[in-house]
This record gives sequence, structure tokens and C-alpha cells, in this order.
Amino acid sequence: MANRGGPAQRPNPQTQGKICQFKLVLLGESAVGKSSLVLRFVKGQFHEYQESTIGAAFLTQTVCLEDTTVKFEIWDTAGQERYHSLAPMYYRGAQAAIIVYDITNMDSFGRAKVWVKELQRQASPNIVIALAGNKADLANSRAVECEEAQTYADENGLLFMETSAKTAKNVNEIFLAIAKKLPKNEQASGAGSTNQGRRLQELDGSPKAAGNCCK
Amino acid sequence: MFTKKNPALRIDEADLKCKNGCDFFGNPEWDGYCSHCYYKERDQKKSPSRGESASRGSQDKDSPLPITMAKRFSKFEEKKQQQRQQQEKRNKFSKLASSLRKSTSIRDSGRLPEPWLEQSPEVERIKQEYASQLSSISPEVSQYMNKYIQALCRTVCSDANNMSIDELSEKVQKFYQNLSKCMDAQNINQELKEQVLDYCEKFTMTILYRNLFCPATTTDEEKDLAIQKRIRQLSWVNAKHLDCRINETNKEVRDLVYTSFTDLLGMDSEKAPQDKLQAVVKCCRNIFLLLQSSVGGPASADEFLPALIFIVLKANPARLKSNIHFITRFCNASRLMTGEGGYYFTNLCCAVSFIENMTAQSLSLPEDEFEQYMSGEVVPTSTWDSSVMMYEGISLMYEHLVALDDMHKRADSVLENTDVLMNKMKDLSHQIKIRVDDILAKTQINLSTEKVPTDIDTENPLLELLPPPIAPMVVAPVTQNTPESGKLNSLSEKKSLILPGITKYAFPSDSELDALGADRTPGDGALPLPMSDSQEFLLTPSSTYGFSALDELATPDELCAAQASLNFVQGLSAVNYDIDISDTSADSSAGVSPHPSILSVSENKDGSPETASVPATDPHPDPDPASLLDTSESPTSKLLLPSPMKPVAPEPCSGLDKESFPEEQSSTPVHSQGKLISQKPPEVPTNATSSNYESFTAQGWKIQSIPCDTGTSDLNNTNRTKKPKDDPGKLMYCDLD
Repeated sequence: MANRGGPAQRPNPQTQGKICQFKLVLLGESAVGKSSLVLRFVKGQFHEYQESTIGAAFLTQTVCLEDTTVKFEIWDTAGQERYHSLAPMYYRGAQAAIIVYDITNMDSFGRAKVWVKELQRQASPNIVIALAGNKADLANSRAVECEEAQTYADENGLLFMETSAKTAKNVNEIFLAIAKKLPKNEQASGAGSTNQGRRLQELDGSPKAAGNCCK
Repeated sequence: MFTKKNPALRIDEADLKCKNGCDFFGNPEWDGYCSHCYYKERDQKKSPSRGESASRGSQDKDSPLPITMAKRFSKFEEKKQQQRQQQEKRNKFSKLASSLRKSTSIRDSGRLPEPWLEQSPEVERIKQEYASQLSSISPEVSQYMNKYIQALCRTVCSDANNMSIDELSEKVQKFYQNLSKCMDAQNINQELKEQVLDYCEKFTMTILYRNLFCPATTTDEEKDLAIQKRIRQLSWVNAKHLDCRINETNKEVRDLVYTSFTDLLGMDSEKAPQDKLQAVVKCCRNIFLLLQSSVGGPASADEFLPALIFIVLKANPARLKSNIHFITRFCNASRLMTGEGGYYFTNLCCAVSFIENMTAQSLSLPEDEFEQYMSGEVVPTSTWDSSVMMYEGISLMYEHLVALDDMHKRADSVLENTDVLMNKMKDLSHQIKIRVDDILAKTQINLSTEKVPTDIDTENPLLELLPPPIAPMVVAPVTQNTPESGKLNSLSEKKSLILPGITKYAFPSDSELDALGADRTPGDGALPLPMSDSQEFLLTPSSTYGFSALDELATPDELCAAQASLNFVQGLSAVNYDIDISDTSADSSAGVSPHPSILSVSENKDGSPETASVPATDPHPDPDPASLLDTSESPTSKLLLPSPMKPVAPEPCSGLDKESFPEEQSSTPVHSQGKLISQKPPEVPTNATSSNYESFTAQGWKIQSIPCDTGTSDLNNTNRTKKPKDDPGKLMYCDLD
């Protein structure tokens, strides 16, 4: 509730025109820097946390475009393999997803590809997917070539950027790019709300589905 | 109560028996007959009617019961009847149930929400909570709202048992959507709209809670039990298994874990779905707090989800599934899919689904190990409980250790202090010992001789010793002194204490005297006099002192004489001392003992009677010198020296006494004599000894005042013993004064 009210005050909704609220899911292997990326985006912090920053799992941030205010509601997910099966519960109803991998870790890129496939198959068809190669500041020990990732992103119609939560490189940019790509018509949010009604009923069966997919 | 009621309820065995009185038990269904009698009875009743309808043959067949056919038929009939009865019962029950249902629904619908609102305090509270918001709504909207609410309540209440829970959920969700649409149409402020929606949700859900929460038409309850059982089975799962970074040993974290437990458990006690959701949010925020202190920064989902699973596992909330379902079904869907509450609730659902589908793989455990844990064959060592137990034990241990340390320190300090005290006491005792030893060493001779001899003296040994001093008895043959020797004896008897010193002193003197005596008859003649002096101990020292001084003065060449004189001095001191104690008291001796200087003084002091004598030596020498010189002149040999010691001294004493008395008396100014003494030694003495004696005498002079007290008494004693000899003492006393 507090979070919902908090960011909404900033863009001054009445004057700013439309407010679009989007649910954005962070996916990716653990320790690739998902929460660091979000913390950099939302709080401008990196390893210098203020007292008020208790958790990095659920955060909201608003981005102002020309005529609209986009409010991101960022849902972090547990990256461990064992919780992979629970992911559908998070990304269900999400309008956007950032799949994060570590450019110094080839495995994390492999996991990212799995996520992309899964989202394309299971998530809502309109979902905007962005691929973020994090830890760009560690380019010296790079394991995933930028070109490789870029070509993969192009093939799958993904947004792609190499980011660095540490240096703040491309952090705001990737969120802005997503905000621009999201459909801002009234239908998007309306569709979201109607979907929610459906989703709720599915929720009961969803764990089973997740379990099946895992097994 | 029971005693009265029991008889009414009690059924005797007789009541259960067959009406006919056969020993079989009867049955109310068979009109109180046993089966046998019942058939008989029935057959008898039926027989007339049957007789009409049925053939006689059959009746005949029927009547004889043993016939199998009849039996079978009767049984078939019976079964049929029973079935009929059962069906009737069922119908009745169903009718009753339906009527009951109808009655409730009628009651519900008849009363409508309004009367309910008054009844329930919770609803009243909600109304009050949102009173301000509701008042700001235009009457149209509130009218709409109330209409919607009433309609929803009515439909839900009436159809609760006929509709599936999903249909109901859809209805409720539609209700929310319609309300929001309605308010959108009225262009109501977004915030107010949210609040109004909140109110409607709370209001309706609180009213309909009984109907909608865990309804009988669902299997929620079974699921609750299933998940509860599952969680109980998984009680062995600990934070490590889940990759959960909860620092279980931290007290703050543990407290937060417990608060999140209570928050999660509090979910069940709330009625409105958003309140339940709020409980989940509270719980999750606490988890973030505890993770923050464990992780060291804002926790991400990587840490949060395992922690939430851990909390759910350890809290094992009641009716978990029912609550989750209730929230998912009847919470405003838009709320559930967005916002913090939605996120945390999704996490909770994930945690529950993870728990339900937990496998060995998901805990990254070997399959067999997981199975063993699940079956309870093996219990992992580091479960939450044990770790908590361990922690509590350890923390308690630490507390005790700290307390022990403190006590150790205190004990050590006490010990140290006691050691210090001990040392101090030892030192003190040692010092006292040293001082006592010193004092003893200084006063040893006196003390040792003091008591032992005094005791012995007073009793037997003296008697034995006395005879030798009676050596003078040898002298006794010298006829002159016989009376004096007799006096000696008498004195010795009278004053034993005085004697030992005297005896000691006497022996050498005697022997010397004897030797001398051989030389000199006049000396022999003089011998009795020292004896008499010894009797009058006052005189003897005086004589010796005086003599020694004089002697050295006279014959410095001969060391033997000096030594002898020293010996005499010592002897004298001993003698004097002995006399002191014996005469005066222990007190005086004690007072005397402390210092050697005092000792010397003591000699004077103690000898106060004697001091009279000691100083007397001084005055004596004064007159003596002449006499001594005279005597010394007369005997040329060494032997002369001892001989003058006693024989001479007495001689002059005796001689002088008589002479001096008048002289001294004549020369009343005693001081003049003292002056004379003081004057004389410097003039005459070349030897240290002589000077010593002078100093001694000087000391004696200095301490004049003290002896006075004792002196008188001694003087008295002396007076008793001898008057003529007292005179010099008196004189000396006078001098001292």
C-alpha cells in the first residue's frame, strides 16, 4: 500500500497524463546481480545501502516518458535452480521481464536462454523481454561475448544491453527501453486486470503445473 | 444430579428382554419381541388377512416355521421392510436437512444484511473505521454501494450451499469489478475509490466469512490437514537444507523469527482477506529485517524465498491452505496481482507449493537420505530446535561462565587480600617476634635467670646452693664474722631472692677471698664484711663498683682485675635485677626490660634501694680512694686487687661508714658530694671502664627520680636488716633526691 502510494506522488499523475503501471519480473541465475541492478535503478545505490533499504525483492520505480508515466513494479525472483519451478507464479501477469546473466559466467547465459524459452512459451504473449548482461565492468574476465548475446537477442526479439550495476552503465537505459516498448494504451492495463481474474482461478492448479514442468 | 438422572436413563435387562418372556432379547423395531416371537406374533396377525389373499397351502407352509421356503420369504419381507424404513429415514433426513437449509437461507435472506450489521461488533468497527471515507462519498455512490453489498450478501447467503466455491469467487470478483467500474463512472478520486473498495471488501467478507471461509463444499480442510502433516514430516528441514542464510544463533534474528511466526499465525485470526494479506506482508517485512542483519544488506529474492519457506515450515500455520484459498478467491484480484501484498502473497504461495512438492532434489540431498529423514528413521543433527536448544544452552553457559569469571575474580581478590592480610599478620607477628626476641636477647640473661632461678631460689636449689656460699663457714672459723655469717643465714632465709646473685657473686669472691685470705688475715677479717655486704646487697655492689673503679684507677696495669671488676659488674647487674623483680614486682621488671640502656639504667633504677647503693659506690669511692689507696699500698701483689674489692670496700665502708656518716651528715649538702664525684672521675680516670662507670653513674643520676618510689620500700627492708648500712643508702638516696 505504502509503496503503491509512494512513487505515484512523484510524477503528479493529474498533470502528467496517463499512468501506466507495469509488473516487471527479474529472472536469472542467483548471484548474477539481479537485485544489484534493481537497487541501482531504484535507489541509485550499490553496496552503500541506506537504513531504509530493507529488501531488494520488491521495489517500485517510476519512469517518465514524453506523455506518460510508467510505474514499474519490480518483482525479484529466487534464482536458485531448486526454485525454478516456482517462477511461473511470479511471471504470470507480468508485462515485462528482464533476464539477467553474468558476462563472466557462461552458465548464467545458458540459464538465461532457458528462461527466454520458458517465457516465450508460458508467459503472456505480449510480455516484453529484455536480456541484460550484467557485470560489464568486469569485461576483463568476460566469458560471454557481447556479439554472441546480441545475435541471440536479435534472433528472439529481445531487448539487449550489457549493464553494470556497479558503474550504473546502461541501468536506466534498459528500463527506459522497456518502458518505451511497453504498450501504453488503456487496453494493456485493462487486459492485465481482466487477466488477473482468470489467473486467480488458475493459481490453485499452477503449482502442479510448475511441479510437472520441473519433473 | 446424576443419581437422579441415572435411574431414568437406566434400562434394565428385563426391559431389553422379549415381551413374551422368552430369554431372547427383544427389539423395539419388533415391538419389543425377540425375532422369534415377533414373527410368531406377526404371522398370527397376518394369518387372517393372508388367509384371505393367500392360499391355504401357503399358509400351511408358512405356519410351520421350520419350513425353509417360508423362512426365506419372511426374511425377504423383512429385508424389504427394512429397506423401506431406511429409505423413509433418508427421505426424512434429506427433507429435514433441506428444510433446515431453507430455514437458514430464509432466515438469512429475510433479515437481510442490515440487522446483521447491528449484531456483529466487528462489522460495526469496520463501519466506524471507514466512516470518514464513506461520508465523503456522494449519496448516489453510497446507495449503489449498499445495493451491491446487499445483493451480494443475499446471493451468497442463499446460494452458498448450491454454488461451487469458484462460482462464488467469480461473483465476488465481479462485485469488486462492478463497484470499481461504478466508481470510475462517477469519476471518484482514485484514492477514495481504493478505500471504498477496501471497505466493501472488508465489510462483505466479514459478514460472509462463515459462508465463504473453508466451506463444506470444498476440500480445503483436508488440504489443510495434508499440508500440516506434510510440514510436520518436514520438521527436520533446517536453514542449511534450504540455503537459507538465517543466522539462528543471533538473538535479534531469533526474536525476529519469532515475531514473523506470530505474524504468519495471525493470518488465521483475521477475517477480511486484505487483513490476512496484511499479516503476510508484516511477516515478510520481518523476514527482510532479519535477513538484513544476517546478510548485511538488503536481501534479494534469492535469500528471501528460502527464509520464507523456512518460516512457514517452522511456524506451521493453522488452516494454511484454507487461508491461502480464501485470499485468492475473495481478495480483490487487482490487489493480489500487484503491490507489495501481491508480491509477498505470491511468495507465500510459492513457499507452500515448494513445501508440497519438496523432493530430495529440491533440497539437494541424496534420495535415500531424504527418505530416511521423511520416515523419521534418521534425525538430522542440526535441526532448528536443536540449534535453538544448543544456542540457549550455550548462551546460558556463557552467562554462567561470565558469572563464574566474576566470582573467580572476586575470590582471587579475596584470596589476595587474605594473603596480604596473612603476610601483614605474619610480618606483624614476625616483627613482634623479632622485637620480642630482641628484647629477649637484650634482656635474655635477666629474664632467663629471672624466673627460673627465682622460682628455684625460693625453693630447694637455694638451700643446696646456700651451703657453698656458706663457704664463709670456712671463714667462719675466723671467729670474727661468725655472728655475721649467722646473720647471713638468717638473711638468706629471710630473703632468698637476693641470695642467688649474691651467691654467684659470693663464690668467686669467697674463693678469691679465701685465696686472699691465705695471704691476708686482715682481708679474711674483712671477708665477713663483704658477706655482711652481701647480706646488705646494697652495699656489696656499691663496694664492688666503687672498688672496681677505684681499682682500675689504682692499678690500670692488671687486666685480670679489670675483668674481675667487670664480672662483678655483670654479677651486680644480675644481682640487682634479680633483686628488682623479687623485691618490687614483675611490673617494675617489665618496665625495666625494654632497652639495654634502660637495663643499665634499670640497674640503677631497680636498685633504687640499691641505686642508693650504686650511687653509693660513687660516694663511697670518693672516700674510698684514700682508703683503697691505702689498702692497695699495703698489699703489693695482684691479689691485692680482689682482696680490696670486698674486704677493702667493706673496710672502708665500715670504716668510712662510721666515718662518713658523720662526715656526710656533717656535710649535709649532698650535691656537693655528687659534684665531687663528677669532678673526680674526669680528673682521675684514664681508663674507659672508669669513664663508663662514670657514665653509668651519670645515667644513674639522670634517672634519679624513678627509683625513689621503690627505694623507700627497699630502704625500709634494708632498714630492718641493718641500720648502720642503711645510712649510706639513705645518704645516697638523699643524693639522688
